[in-house]
This record gives sequence, C-alpha cells and structure tokens, in this order.
Amino acid sequence: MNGITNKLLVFFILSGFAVASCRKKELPVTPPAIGDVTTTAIELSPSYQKIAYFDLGTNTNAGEAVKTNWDLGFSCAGETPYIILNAAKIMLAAPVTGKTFEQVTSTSNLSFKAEHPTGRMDSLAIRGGSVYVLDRGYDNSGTHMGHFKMEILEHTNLHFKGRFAKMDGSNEQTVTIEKDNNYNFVYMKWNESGAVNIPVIEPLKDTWDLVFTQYSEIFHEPEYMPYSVVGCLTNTYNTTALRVTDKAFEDINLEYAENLVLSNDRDEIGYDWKTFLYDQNIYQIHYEKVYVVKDSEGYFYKLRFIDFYNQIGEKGTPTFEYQRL
Amino acid sequence: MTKNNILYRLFLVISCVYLSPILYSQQVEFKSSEDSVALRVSVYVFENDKKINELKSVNGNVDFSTIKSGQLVEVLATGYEQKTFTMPETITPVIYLHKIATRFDEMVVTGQMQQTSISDAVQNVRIINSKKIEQMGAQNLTQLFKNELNIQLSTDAILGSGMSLQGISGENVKILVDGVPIIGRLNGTVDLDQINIQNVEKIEIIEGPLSVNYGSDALAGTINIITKKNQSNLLSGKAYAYYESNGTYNTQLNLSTKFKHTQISADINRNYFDGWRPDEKPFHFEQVRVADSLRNKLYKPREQIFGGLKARQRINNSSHAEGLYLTADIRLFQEEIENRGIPSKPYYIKAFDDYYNTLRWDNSISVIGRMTKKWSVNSTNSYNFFERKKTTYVNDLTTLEQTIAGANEQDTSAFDLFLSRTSFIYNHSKNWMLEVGYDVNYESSRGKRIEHQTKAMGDYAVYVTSEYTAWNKLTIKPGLRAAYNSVYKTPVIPSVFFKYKVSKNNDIRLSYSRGYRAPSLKELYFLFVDINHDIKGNPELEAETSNNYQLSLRTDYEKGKCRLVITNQFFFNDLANLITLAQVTNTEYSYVNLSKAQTYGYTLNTNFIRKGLSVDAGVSVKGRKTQVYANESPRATSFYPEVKVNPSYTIDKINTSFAVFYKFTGKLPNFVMQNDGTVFESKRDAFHMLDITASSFFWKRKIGITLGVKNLLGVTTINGLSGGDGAHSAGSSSVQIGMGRTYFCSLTVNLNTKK
Repeated sequence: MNGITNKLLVFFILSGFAVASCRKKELPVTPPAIGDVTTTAIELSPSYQKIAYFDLGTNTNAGEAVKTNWDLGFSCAGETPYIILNAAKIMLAAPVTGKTFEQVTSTSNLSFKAEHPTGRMDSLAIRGGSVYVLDRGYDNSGTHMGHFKMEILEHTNLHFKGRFAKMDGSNEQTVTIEKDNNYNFVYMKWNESGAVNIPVIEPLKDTWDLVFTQYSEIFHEPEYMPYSVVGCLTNTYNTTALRVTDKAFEDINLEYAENLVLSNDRDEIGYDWKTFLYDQNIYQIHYEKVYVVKDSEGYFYKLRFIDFYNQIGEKGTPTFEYQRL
Repeated sequence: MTKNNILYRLFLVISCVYLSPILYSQQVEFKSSEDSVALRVSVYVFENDKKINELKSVNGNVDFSTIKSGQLVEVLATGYEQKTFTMPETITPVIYLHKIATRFDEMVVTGQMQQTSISDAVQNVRIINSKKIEQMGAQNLTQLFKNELNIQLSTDAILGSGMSLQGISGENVKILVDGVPIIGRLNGTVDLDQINIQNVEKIEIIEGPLSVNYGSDALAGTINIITKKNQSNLLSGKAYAYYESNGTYNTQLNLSTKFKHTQISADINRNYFDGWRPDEKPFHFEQVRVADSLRNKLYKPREQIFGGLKARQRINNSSHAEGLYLTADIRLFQEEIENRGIPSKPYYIKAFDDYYNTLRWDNSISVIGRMTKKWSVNSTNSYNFFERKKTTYVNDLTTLEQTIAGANEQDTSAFDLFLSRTSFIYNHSKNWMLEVGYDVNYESSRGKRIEHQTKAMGDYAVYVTSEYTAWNKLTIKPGLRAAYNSVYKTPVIPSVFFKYKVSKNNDIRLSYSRGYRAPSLKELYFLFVDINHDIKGNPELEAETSNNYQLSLRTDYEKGKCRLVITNQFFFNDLANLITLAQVTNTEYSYVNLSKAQTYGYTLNTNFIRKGLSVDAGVSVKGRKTQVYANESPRATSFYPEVKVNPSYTIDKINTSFAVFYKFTGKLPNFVMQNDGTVFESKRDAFHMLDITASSFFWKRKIGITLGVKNLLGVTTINGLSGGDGAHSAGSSSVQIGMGRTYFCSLTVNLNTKK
C-alpha cells in the first residue's frame, strides 16, 4: 500500500458517491384532457372573509360581501317571517324565558344554539320566543365580538320592529326594518356604540344560485359543538341540488337529472367535498363527489369540485367545474 | 447539485492529493487499536538481553532515531498488551496497541469533578464507545440508540427522531456535546437524526437527573457526546464513506495536526439520503422520472453538511499529568429536507413542495483542567444558534415551475442560547473535593406562533457539590443548585449520591436527585387564535419537577482472562407539575401545570469479556402511572420489557471482528393526552431489531471495511395506536418503525503522514 493507491482509492470512492448522491430531477407530466366543462374559482381569501354569490347560468359572480358586516337576517317572503343568524362567524342565540328584556343582563344560565346548517325553518336558532340574547361570534382575527340582546316587537312580511341593547341595557334602540320581496333577506348589523346598520349583503334573489361562505356545522360528539366550516350553500328561493352517488360525472345526462328528487336543504352541497389531511397539512378534494343542481331558471347542471387553493397555494378558493345538461 | 456540494467535493479531492506522501520518519506514534487514542508509553531497548535505553512518549510520540535495527524493542502502556519486536530497517510511523480486556476501566467526565473511572464514579454511567459506533455502522444518534435499553425512539416524517428515557419524554433529556447543550427543540425534542457521531470518542449516558450541574431538561437523564481529542504530532486524518441500500450516501473527512503547542482538527461531512417509500426495494437507485404520485416519499430525502474546526492548547506548564487546556470549537450544520408533495386530486398536475432548512451554528470556548496542585477549573462558554425555515412552493407539474406559496404556508423558527458555566474544584485531599460553580443561560426564541414573535429568558444559577470518601469505602456526594429565572420561579435543586464499596468487586450506589424542566418559550408564549382555535401560552407556568431515586449494585468478577460486570439498577421517578395542554374555559386552551406521573423500573446489564469475545446483554422492565387530573385515580400501565443482546468477537490475527446487535422491545402501553383534554389508551406491538455486522482492517490498519445488515428481520410498521398532537386528531392504527432490511458497507481510510 503506497500513497498513490491510497489517493486513488479515496478519489474513486468519492467520485462514485458524487454521481449517486444527488437529488434527481423530474420530468413534467402531460396535462390531462379536460372535457367540455366550465371551470370557475371563487376566492374567499385564506381567512374566509368573503361571502360570494354565484350564478350558474351566466357563470358570473352575482355579488359579494364581507362576512362580518351583518348579524341578523330577516326573511322577506314565506308564510311565517323568520330571523337567521350570521353563521359565518358562528353566532349563537339564546331564548330568554322568565325575564323581560330589561331584566336579562348577563349571559349566564342561558342555553345558546347555533344556526342549523340546513336552513330549515323548524331548526332555526331564533324560533318562537320574543326576547333573545345574541352571541356575535368571532371576527376575522378570532376575537370574540361580544353579546347584545333583542326583543321582537312586531314581525311581518313587510317589516320587522324590534328593540336592541347591550347586555347592561345601554345603547338601547328600537328599530324598524322595511322588507323588500325582491330579496330573500334584509340584514342588520349591531353597533356597540351607535345606531344599527342596515347593510346590503345579498343580491336580488333571482340573480344567483350558489353562495360560497363559512357557516356553522353542528357536531354532537362528544357534546353539542358548532364548528365553522367553509362550503357552498344553495339559494333556497328557487335552486335545488342533490349529491349523486350512483353515477359517474361523465354518465350524468338530462334524462337522469330530471328524474331525481332534488333537495331544498341549502347545505346539500355543503363543505364535505374536501377533507383536511392532518398528516400532510393539506385539503384533499373529493373529486368523486358529484352534484346535480337545478338553477332558478330551471336548467340542470352537473358539478364537481377540483381545488381549494389559489395560484400561490393559499386556501379559501373553492374551484369547481360544471356543465349544463 | 448545490454550490455547497461542489465546494465540498473540491475540498475533499484537494485534501486527498496533498495528504498522501508517507515519508520516512523516526517519530513513531502509539495508538490504541480500539479507538485510535494516542497512548502514553514506555519503550525499552535491549541489546543482547541487556537493557540499554529507556524512552518515554511525548504526546503519544517516541523518537526512534537512536534505536538501531536488530535491537529488541519492548513497548509498555498501562491497560494495553505489551508489544515486543526487533527493530526493522524502517519503522512505520504508527504502531497500534491492543487494550487488555481485563483490568481496564473506562473513564467518565459527565457530572464528575474530574475524570473518574467508571467504577469509581458515584453515578451509574453507561458508555457507548467509538468501537460500537463503528461496528454498528451507526450514522447518527437515532441509529445508535436502537440498541440501548431504557431508550425508546419515535419518528416523525418532518420533525425527525425523538427519544424517551426511563419512560420520560425527550423534552426532559439533556443532550450535550462536550458539555455544551444542543438546542433547537422543535415541539420539545431535539432531532437525533441531526446529531452526527462520526468523530466521537464515546457517549456517556447518565440516567436520572443531573440538574444540579446542568439545570433544566436534565430530568430524565443526560447524554454527553465526547468528541475525539487527537494528541498526535503528525498530520493525521481519516476519510470515511458509507453506503446503505435504502439510499444513504455519507462521506466524511477529518484532519488533525499540531502547530507548535496547538492541536488543530477540522472535519467535514456530507450525509445524503434519497428518501424511502414502502414499495422501494433495497438497492433502489433514484432515476429521473415523471412527477407522479411516487414523487412523495414516506421518509423524506435529506442532505446534511457538517463542518467543524477545533483548536486545543495546553495553557500551563505545570508538572501535573492533567494539564490545563483551552479549547475553541466551531461547528456548523446545514440540513435540507425536501418533501415533494403528493400531486393533488383530481388532475394530479399540482403539488405542494416543502423544503425544511435547518442551520445550526455552535461555538464554544472551554478551559478545563488543573490550575494548581489543589485547584481545577471546568469552564464552558458557548453561543448556539438554531434556525429552521419551512418554505413551501406550489409546483405546476405540467411545467415543473415552482411558485412560492402564500405567507401562511411559510414558517421560520429560531432559537439561540448564550451559556457560561464554570466550576472551580478544590481537591483538599484524595478523599475530599469541593466544587463551586455558576451556570448562566440566556436563550431566545422566535417563531410565527410565539406571542410578539420573539421572547427571551435568562437563567442565572449557582451550584455547589462536594465529594467525600470515608474509610476508602463510603463515598458521599451531596449537591445543591439555586437559580433566578427571569420568567418563571425556579425550584431549589438538591441531590445526594452514595457509593459504598462492599468488597473489592462489589459496589452499591444509592441516590436521590431532584430534576426539573423549565417551561419552554412555546409553552409560555404560544399564540394560535382563529375562529376554530384559541390556544395561548401561559406565562404563569412553573417548572416540571421530579424526584428520582436509584439503587444499583455493580459486581465486577475477574478470573483469569475473563471479566464479568453485572449491574442491577432500580429506578423510581416521581414527576409532578407536568405541563399539559388543556381546556381552560369553554373555548380556550392553554398550557397548565396539571398532570402527575410516576415511572419505575429495573435494569440488568451484564458485560462479559474473554479474549476477543465480548457480550453485552441486558433486560429491563418499566412501568408508568399517569394522573392527568387531580381528582382522578392514576392510570397504571402494565410493565413492558426490553431485552438486549450484543455479542461481538474479534479475531486479532486477521484484524476482523463480528458483531450482533439485537434488541427486543415489548408491547408498549401508553396513555395519550389529546389537545382537547381527553385521554386515550394506546398500545404499540412488540418488535425485534437485529443487526449483524463484520469489520476488518487491512494494510496496517490503514483501510477498514465494515459490512452489515441492519434490521435483518425487516420491521417496517407495527400495529399500534399513536395519538396525534393536533386538536382534531384521532389515533392511527400503525406505527412506522423502520425502513425494512437494509445492507450497508463502509470504508475507512486512515491517513498518517509526517509534516
């Protein structure tokens, strides 16, 4: 063994390693052939600040709103007028029994309920009573927005009249809100230190089919727990939908769709077309979940989701493809 | 290939070219054949059976220029076999001596006032020497600890490998390199895959708290990694290459020499692992391929580059054998883990690619040794920096164009630590010593989910220990530490160790020590609030504390050429104030001092040596009781066993040794506290780990080759539930243990040359 051999041996081993021990480059994949479908992305922002209304027939955004801009919605049509909570920020409502509007000053011993995801009238959080304490839910940074109380004085299809105040009774105001039958709901926003706002949130009721927003899903295990989810709700005015489980997207035709019994529940499409994978820290899309939607003009569409991320990988951009039948 | 890579390879090639010429030398260096440590030797020269000369080594070197060929040379070194030979015409520059199996005691430093033999130390110290590291082909601490009792390992695809000791999680294990703590505890634990052990002389493991000396985190135990200290006058070095069939390619080069009175050593390593998927066969070589779902690996591809520079100088000229040494050490570490994401459904044309870049920068200056006849000093001063950056890209797989993802997907955590720990040791007599020291730690932490993004804490401690031996039989070592911490209230930490020498061959050790773990900056200042989460750190947290009791009996039989050491050890840990993430109001979660736990166990270790045969074997059983809430009854786990057998056989004539590393880990029961406060029981199945290796040296020990099979039984996943640490996670039904059977080979080239 001499110096030269020594040198060469080391050199060869290292050279061999140098070749084998590098990360190998990849080759690009061939883009898939995407059929005759329309692909649309709805940006809600990574913290889901927006509510976005969408019309299938024109493939356009019918309107959008900031989710924290309202607290209560008052229905404009139907036999019994009703009130909804802003589920996008997980608002809660508790009926007050045995106490008057003036007497209720704290949130203790009250039973709070969140808005039910289906939007069915018999499941509403505000139902029956006249005095309620309202939990305003959370703002975009996750800060709790406090409570206020409400007394329903008069409620018809034409107007709503009610009293609002802070829990300590201050900033009390009586408000009358006129209704407009061109909309599903008129909205109000409680203001801690000033007059109640009446913002415009939703576009005209016959101009949109789907709304992309946060809303509350209710879990009952291990206990009653409203949980904020992001998904797609249908316009209960005149849009219906159904998840199809017995046919592939490609095989759904008009004849098949016309024979389906579609659901009026607003969360028929819902949020579960995606799952968060904790081990990979990523939302996975359930491409195999296919929906049939009948829009307000009476056309049938098939629809499925393909993404939840925008171009720079931020969540909050539901992306779907659909086709008119 | 990165720029770093090219520079690194260039450096290796250039160094090799300059290194090799072996010139005729009269200086002969004597080294231990087991661990290449330079030896202190006496050389006697005989002519016609008459002693004519006597030479002593200076730093392991002896000048042979006065010895004529044909004269008889006899070399003696304490603890080593005598070597006799006739002086040849030219003599090799390095001569290796074999350790005598019997009558040799390893030395320990961790928690000691001065270097002490393992049988004299008041603590029960476990040593893993470099021979075992080489025989196992272990590349990092994770691989080495696979064969240790009382150590459980866990793997995370991104966070790397963690450990638990005596049934206590890794947050409570202090890991030191030459006395300097390793920082960078992500989620509480240090990634053991990042701790290189190629230039290590030995690793000392002390179970039970050494909190008096080392402060926080040294609750379950302390692991001190002692790096090699080359004494050689020559320019010497080692080139090392390692290949394993799961796609590991490691190379290392180290050089060391002496300039005047300063010993300088430098090393550089590159470790590359190309990732592993369960469907990969051994000897799978990565190819350039289409970016489909196979791009995602279960074990992520990883490249690590280590570099170190160390200078050591004796700074007093006193006649004491142990001098006073000044050591300056700089180490750099860089790691990139690449996680090529799974192409997302439905079209498989988009994926998230994550890169995890870790940077460690460890600097230390230490002064250790004897100052005067009565006084010694042990001073370590260091600055450590750790940063881990996660960068995420959205990869368009049809063009392979990477777009940097939004700010939410990027994350950087950084820690740094200033440490100054100095103790003065007064040697009153052989029987009485006193140590007085201070320990100052100033650490800061920076991260996305830390309140105000950055937080710091200072810890200022003084400690005193004393060691007294009565009648040459009973040694008692009490210690006390008191500290002020800028953030939380620190407990006063006492400890006391007893050692009684029953007879020449039997020792009893008994100890009580208190340990603590400081609340981490994350537990104090974590902040994660959004619509579905409200998790906040708790600045009012107190330290976790433990009372540890240990009893051990050590018997050291010697008969003829056989030696048998048996250690029986019992331990009991009583842990309180355990920091737990719990629901504090309806919607809020925070860290609270909540749970209590007890761990207890028994360990039997035996070591048998006869000539070339050495067998390490042991058994341990452990149990744990956990009480999460004060009002509930403790949940006890059944005992779970571990068995270890590690025989090795060395045939001196052909410089070859064979070794088997076997460990059985019994069914591991556990209770996992989830973030939502619920506790669920998990169980992990038993498994067997078996490695077999053979090592051989050639050409006067210049070339060494080790071949082996790791994980011979091919363990990959086993059944078991493991709790996640997310608020939402459920248990998964299998636990990843290893990558199945792999084959490895390593090559060592020892380089020695005259300057």
